[in-house]
Amino acid sequence: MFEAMQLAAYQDEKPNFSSRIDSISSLLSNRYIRVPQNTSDWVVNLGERLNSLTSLPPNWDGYSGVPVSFDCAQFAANLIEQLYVDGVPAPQLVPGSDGTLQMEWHVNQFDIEIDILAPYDVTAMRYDLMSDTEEELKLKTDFSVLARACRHETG
Amino acid sequence: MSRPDHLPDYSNPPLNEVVVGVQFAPVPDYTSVDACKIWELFKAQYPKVRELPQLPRNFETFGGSNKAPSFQMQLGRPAGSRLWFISPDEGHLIQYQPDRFLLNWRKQSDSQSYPHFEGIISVFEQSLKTLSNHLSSEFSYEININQAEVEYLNIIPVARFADAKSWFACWDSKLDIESLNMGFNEVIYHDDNTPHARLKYGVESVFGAEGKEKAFRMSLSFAGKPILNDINSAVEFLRKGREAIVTRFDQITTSEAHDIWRKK
Repeated sequence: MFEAMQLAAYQDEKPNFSSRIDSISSLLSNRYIRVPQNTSDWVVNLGERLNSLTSLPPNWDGYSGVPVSFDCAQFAANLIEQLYVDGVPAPQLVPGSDGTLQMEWHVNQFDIEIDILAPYDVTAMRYDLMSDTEEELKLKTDFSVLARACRHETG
Repeated sequence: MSRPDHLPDYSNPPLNEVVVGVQFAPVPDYTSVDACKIWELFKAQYPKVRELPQLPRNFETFGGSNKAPSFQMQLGRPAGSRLWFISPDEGHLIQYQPDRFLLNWRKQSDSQSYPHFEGIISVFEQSLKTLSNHLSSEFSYEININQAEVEYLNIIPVARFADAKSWFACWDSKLDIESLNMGFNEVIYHDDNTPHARLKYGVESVFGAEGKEKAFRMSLSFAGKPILNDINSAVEFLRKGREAIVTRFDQITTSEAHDIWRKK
């Protein structure tokens, strides 16, 4: 089992611990929160949608569209997990004809659209419908700005 | 290329295994039958073969509330399985799957000399170029690397797990612990303060394969996106990762341990 999941190929020593921290309910107080490590509600809710988008038939849109690439979908799942805000609805996922993927939120007079063109090749746009202004960002590895926008505009 | 002088050095380090590797965009039109031609590229040095499930894709990103997503969600994989091409002495192996290429080295005996990172990265770079040339000629595919990673695994034999304080500077407890499992991550930044990579630390108590000897298995892995998508940039990323790992290893282990490992 170990070799199936790890880069290491030779480690045959056996761990002698069995972590049971998840069963300790007293850690979940209002004063302290644990650093989230588990799959978020967004990823859980969007898993089926991501699978369906990567399974789209050729020419799915009548314009020679191709299914969402596995790379884009996997990167999107990673990003969704990073951007998760508790209590906020999951983004809508919209396929692009060229195998790309768009994530969208339309809440609180703001539109946030994230185009995943490829892993580490992301364009994010924020529209403020009240002031009729828009902002565009090119992002690669650091999504701090996007995370703040998600918390602020959607929360 | 010689070893950087500023790095801590040990005559007898507890190093047990080193892994260097890259992840790349899947090769279009690749099918499982093409794996045989890949093996032919390396068969002379790695004549043994094993087949395993593919490793999941990994993308290190930064920012957001979930600092280190740990979920496993498989949305499909490139065609084929993961293949191990193993050297006759089983000290080296290449791991290949249609979106990953890794080289592992493992210490096989106390008398075996460590080829050092410079030796490992040299073999890796040459092997990766061999693969890249093949993919270019057979599939008109220029390798598009989106992630690189280097990992060091140390096996530290101990009489008692309660002796952890003697080995790890970050562990300050006199408890007579029965077992240990700790992990923590650190973001490594570029000079301009933008995130560069994630350094992951892990220590766990283990028993030897026969269930008798006790040891701590200490892993340090450095993963992220190289600046560019080519082999040179990936190798540069791996060199920086090695420097970070060796430096941090020295910082989080005790001077008492350094004496045992004969720090120079």
